[in-house]
Amino acid sequence: MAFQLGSALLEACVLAIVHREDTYGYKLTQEVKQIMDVSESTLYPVLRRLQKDGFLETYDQPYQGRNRRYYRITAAGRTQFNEFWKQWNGFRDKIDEVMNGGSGYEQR
Amino acid sequence: MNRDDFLRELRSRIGHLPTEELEAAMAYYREYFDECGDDAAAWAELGSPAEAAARIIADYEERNHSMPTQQYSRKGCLPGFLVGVFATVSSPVWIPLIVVVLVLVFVFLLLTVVLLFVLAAVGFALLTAAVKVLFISIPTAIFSVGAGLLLLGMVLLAAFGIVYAVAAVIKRLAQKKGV
Repeated sequence: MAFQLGSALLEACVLAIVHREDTYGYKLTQEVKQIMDVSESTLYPVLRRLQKDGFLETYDQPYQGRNRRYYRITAAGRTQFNEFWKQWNGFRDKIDEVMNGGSGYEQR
Repeated sequence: MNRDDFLRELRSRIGHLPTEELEAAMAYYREYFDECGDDAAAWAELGSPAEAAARIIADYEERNHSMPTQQYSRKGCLPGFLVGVFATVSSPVWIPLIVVVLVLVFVFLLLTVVLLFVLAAVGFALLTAAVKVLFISIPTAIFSVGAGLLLLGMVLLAAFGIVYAVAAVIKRLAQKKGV
């Protein structure tokens, strides 16, 4: 993809996925990889940062004799996700407008 | 090249981080290998342990440097020019300076008073001389009386002026101290 993915957009996508349902690292990585080309090792720091900012929390669940660490969104994380969502919509509208020749949505 | 090699190298590269950071990262990557099931595939997806370590360290550094650090407050500090003013006022330079100015003013007043006395003396001398020459040359006597009165008048005017000026300055200083 020609467009670079900033860390904010990556954080927003991770929040969006966890917002939908609790998930664990590997599954989350696979989901993110389907929508954007990211290296596996970029996702762990994103998760860690979201966790440290209080937007995500973790809990362990036993699975086949070991633990799976699940990520769950917090109330602060929901607020943050809504903020991302609003900003993304505004940003997307502006990009759409300029991409469509500055004439709004008529060319769709 | 199996998961243990990856995890060992990763641990050695991020070993200097706080234990909690270190163990969280290790747990995450251990789990990733477990989930994937295929060590080679997982390794291929994850990239090198060095790369993973670099990202973990970079993120840790960023998080800890962007934490609210103690900023030196500019509030409560005086503006620069005020500091300069206070420094000059509070420095000992002012004491001799004020003394010099006061001495100069005093000397000036003293000289003026002496000059006035001299002029007054000359005026009296002229009046006395007028009496002496009264019977020798009446025009000279009249001139002498006129010159002497003129001088005395000027001295009196100047003396009153100075007295009023000094009184006004003293009054103003006293008022300022009173307020």
